[in-house]
This record gives sequence, C-alpha cells and structure tokens, in this order.
Amino acid sequence: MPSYYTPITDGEPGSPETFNTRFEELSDNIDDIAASAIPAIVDWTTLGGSAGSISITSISQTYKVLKLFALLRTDQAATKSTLVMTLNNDTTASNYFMRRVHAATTITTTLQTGSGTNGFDLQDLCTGASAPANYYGFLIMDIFNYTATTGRGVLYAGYCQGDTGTSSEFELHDGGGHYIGGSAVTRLDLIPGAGSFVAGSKYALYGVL
Amino acid sequence: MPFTPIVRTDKHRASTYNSRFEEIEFSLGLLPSLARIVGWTDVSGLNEISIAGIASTYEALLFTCLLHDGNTLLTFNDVVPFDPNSLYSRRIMLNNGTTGFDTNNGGVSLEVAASTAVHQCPTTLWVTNIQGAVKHWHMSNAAVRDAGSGLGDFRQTGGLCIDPGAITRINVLNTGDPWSTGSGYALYGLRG
Repeated sequence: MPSYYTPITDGEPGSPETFNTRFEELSDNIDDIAASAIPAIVDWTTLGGSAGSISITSISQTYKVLKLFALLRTDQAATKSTLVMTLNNDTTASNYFMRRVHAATTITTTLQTGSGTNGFDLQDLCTGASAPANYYGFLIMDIFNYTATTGRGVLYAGYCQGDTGTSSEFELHDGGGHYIGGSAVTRLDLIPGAGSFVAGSKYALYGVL
Repeated sequence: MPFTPIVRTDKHRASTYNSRFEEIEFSLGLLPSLARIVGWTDVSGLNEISIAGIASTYEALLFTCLLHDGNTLLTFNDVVPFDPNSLYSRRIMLNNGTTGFDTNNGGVSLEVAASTAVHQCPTTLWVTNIQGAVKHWHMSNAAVRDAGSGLGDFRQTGGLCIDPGAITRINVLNTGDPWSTGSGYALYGLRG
C-alpha cells in the first residue's frame, strides 16, 4: 500500500477530481518532508586551484536559516591566516557586530562593534602554507533571518591548528553577532586576510526550512 | 501546491498527467541533504554503540546523543583507544574559562558526567571531510549536574583525526556503568 496517496480504484470516474485528490495528497506529503529538510544551496565544492575569495551569490530567499560549512587553507607563508566574511558584498564596517570567545593557551574574548573590520572578523580560521599538509581551518556558521532587512543574527564555531608541535597553534573560536545592513542577504563572501585560498579548500551552503 | 490542477477542458491523454507528475518530481528536488543514517536509538542498559557500513556518499556526519554516566570514548573506524600513533588531537574550551590541548586522546571523549540518573548530557558532533585523510570535527556538549553538586560543564571542542581511510564506522565505548534510561543517539549524513 503506497504511503503518500490513496490509490485509484476500479469504478472511480475518470474525472479531474479523481486525479487532483491524489495529487493533493502527494503534494501535502512533500510539504511535510520539505519542512524537515536542509536542502543544499551550494553542494560541497572543492577548489581545484587557488582563489582570491569564495563568493556565493544569488542566494535563494526560500529558507529561514543559512548553514555554512567551510574547510579553508591559504598560501600565506604562515601557520594560520585570518578570515573575513561579508554579506551582500557590504564592506561597511559599521554594519557588523560580533562577540567572540577564543581559546589558545588561555581563553580571551573580543568584541567587534561596527568598526575596524569591513565584515565579520573571524580571525585565524584558515591554515596557512606552513601548516601540516591536509590541515584546514574549520568553520560552521548559522545565519538567522537572512531574508529580512533587519535582525540578521549569526552564530559560528571554528578552529584552526597551524602546527602540531605548539599547543598555542591550535585555536578554538566561538562567536555570535549581527548584521545591520539594510537589505536581505543574497550574497556571502569569504575573504582571506592574506594570500589566496588553495586547492583542496572546500565549502557548502545549506538552507534550513 | 506544486502542481497545476487538471481542469475539465484538459484533454484525457498522457501528456496531461505526465506534466503534473513532472511538476511534483521537481518539488522532490527538495529532498533532504541531511539524511538519516541511524534514527534515534535507545541505549539504556548498554555500554557500546557500534555503527558500521557508513556509505561513501557523505561529505560530513552529524552524531547527536543524550547520555548519562560512564567514561565514554568515540572512535572512527574502530581505531584502538590510546593508540601510540596519536591519531586524534583536540582543543577544548570550558565554561569555567579554562582551555586544554592534547594530541594523545585516542578518540573523541564525550566526557559524560555522572550525576542524578535523570540528568542526561546532550552532545552534537559534526565531522567533516570524512572521505579525506584528515577529518575535522567540532563538538558541543553539556555535562549537566544536579543542583546539589554544583553547576555542570558546557564544552566546545575542536579536533582532528588523522586516518588515511574514509570513515565507514563509528564506535562509542563506555567503560563505566551502563547508560541509564533515556540515553540514546542518532547519526545523520550530509551528502556531498
């Protein structure tokens, strides 16, 4: 017995109502499934070569929350690189606010209050060229209410290990903040503080319904 | 309603019905990218979780659990705990303002606190790059204690697992008392 619609039986008239009833049953079940889905807006994408930035544009306005995953490495001659994220290609520093907790050998906290950085300052969340091979900076971020023109909140967690021999080179970050630019978010950019992202870096963007 | 209803003036032929089925099929493109691998499973009275045969179609995994009691270690591909090759490294950040780093943990320690039996500790563990040589994982968990023994711990942990093989198996071993009533877990896969 099918799960999602009532089978047509012998004797039912071949009328539009007969078929429309089944289509509606299927459609209602699709809505139920979709309500729990987090469809991919951008499937996991691995860079085949270097990239000065990662841009995700024309973001669908269908969802309630964006969920971003990224594993990033740059060609900067360092163990770690900084990372900035902008929304809508907006480089107005006064539109970005963030509180971040950062664990290295001790735990510190920093505040970004609409100045200094032209985007969300995610600090050292990329490995650099000096980091061990196949080590990437890890980032997972939720962007809430992104289709609105006010009240966009972000929460993120990430870490980066730039060197296996020094404990201070393994940094763990957690942060949250908000974006006060006046437009719905349709674009997201990840920008390394120096150099370019290298091949093997990967990212994905999902929409949460 | 992702289809165009049939009306009486539509012709009774294959294309009339096929076009509606195609409209619904298009809606099926919304099928979840986060697939359920193992649905919520009760583990009360048990000491071990073993999940084998994880498909190679996933790029990342989400392991969630609610556990009470026991010294609990999660490993990928059943690597022997405390392997001298030190395949796991992590940094942990605790609510009490301290942080720790180690490279010889032998696995992902879920650090489930012992407390009043009804208290369960929630954990979410994301594991990415599971097909690659270095897995990057991040975990949030809370070890809740009852009011009588003080506040519990909230932890964020980031770590790496260096194993050339793709993750096809997850084991969780509890060397203490069996998990209590209400403990359970689920595993989801994020498709590539």
